Amino acid sequence: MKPAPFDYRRPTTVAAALTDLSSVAGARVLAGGQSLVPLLSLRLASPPVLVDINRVAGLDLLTTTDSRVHIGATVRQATVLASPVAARHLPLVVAALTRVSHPQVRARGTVVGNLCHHDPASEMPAVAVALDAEFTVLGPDGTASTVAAADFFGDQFEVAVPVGGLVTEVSFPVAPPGSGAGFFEVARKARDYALLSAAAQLTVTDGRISAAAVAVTGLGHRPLRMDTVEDALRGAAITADALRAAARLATGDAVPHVNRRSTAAYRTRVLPVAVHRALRAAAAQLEEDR
Amino acid sequence: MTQTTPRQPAPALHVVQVTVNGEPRDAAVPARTLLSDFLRDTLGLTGTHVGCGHGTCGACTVLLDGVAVRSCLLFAVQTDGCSITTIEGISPDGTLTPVQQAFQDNHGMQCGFCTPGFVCSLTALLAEDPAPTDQRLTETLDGHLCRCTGYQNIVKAARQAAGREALS
Repeated sequence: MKPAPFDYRRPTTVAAALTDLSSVAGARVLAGGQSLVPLLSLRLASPPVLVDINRVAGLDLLTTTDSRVHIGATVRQATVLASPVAARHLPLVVAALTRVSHPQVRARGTVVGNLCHHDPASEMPAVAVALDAEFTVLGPDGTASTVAAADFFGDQFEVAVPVGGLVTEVSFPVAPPGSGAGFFEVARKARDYALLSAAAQLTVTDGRISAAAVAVTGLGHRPLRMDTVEDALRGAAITADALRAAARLATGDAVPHVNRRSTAAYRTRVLPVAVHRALRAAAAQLEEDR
Repeated sequence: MTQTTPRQPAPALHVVQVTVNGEPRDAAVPARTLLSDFLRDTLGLTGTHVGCGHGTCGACTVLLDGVAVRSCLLFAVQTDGCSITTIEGISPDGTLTPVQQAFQDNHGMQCGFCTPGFVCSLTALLAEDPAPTDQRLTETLDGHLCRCTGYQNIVKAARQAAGREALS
């Protein structure tokens, strides 16, 4: 058998899941398992306990409240992609999720698990940071806290979840009317690991950009918000020149060893190009909806 | 030199009760048994092929409650109570399904190792969406690797199964 032995727990309540997660040091959550199971089979990880949360009641809900869409910890990526709620309210999430692996993997993979895994090549952390997503994090004693995406992602494969804790949902703000979203990733081939990803959402009011949300992953160990690009876009008319000029302002410190497929110099060079293409895709979606 | 590993206590066994190809099956296996190994080694259903064993190639794709999934990325114990269809059960009456017929008509295979995965994925897609767009067909085929054909005949087969003229 490929994975090392582990104890398997299958709680049906959040409280029982927290008890199981605290029972042994190194216990891991098993949600979709589409990143975790390969790590186990390759023996890159060998946790003593796996806590399967797939049958925990109440974690499989996709709900809309207070102008946010809440995605529970066991909601599949495919479920979000097929959901009319996401299609209407979360255009940037939909744009990014179509780039996440294949339909057969998205059928099991979860949005929350993908974010918690925090692979530096991953698409969704850029979306979470761009849109100010919020994570509901339970401590081992069940105390809930809300963690902003800006504070959630640490170095690669690290997130702000305490030992024995559990993320029960992520929420994204509903895109305001007049919003368009674009996602662009640089990869050697379609569906391969991205070298650099850019996420952009533009909101246009009375012909001018009233809100801009832009972030990238792949540059360093954590997703990076493109503040200078956003500042340049806010208040501008939505023209090809404005998008190009704003994208040129995209800068950030590229970390050399985020992946072995590209150099820091290459990623720095394609950064403004990727941001520009994400912005153009967002503008094109706005044009389509008009 | 022979490497020895320390003897470990026998792992706890978990009873897995599933419906496979319409028949109830159960077995007690360690938690670390992958669904792909459970189907092949425990139940003897060797039509499910294991290529890469870590979710890249798609050869091990089966239907879990009607949805195409990679059986090497699931533990058998997780599927307790679920319904599984493997390539052996894809045709309930034993005659070729439209997807299988399309693969035969278009010679959508050479060595055949990847074929069970392709057939399972397309079967699930067409059950959900009998007239998928070319983009959806491509996305579904994209989840599978074939090292022989160059994919052209597989795309032709998929288009025929979806009720469309094959691209010449």
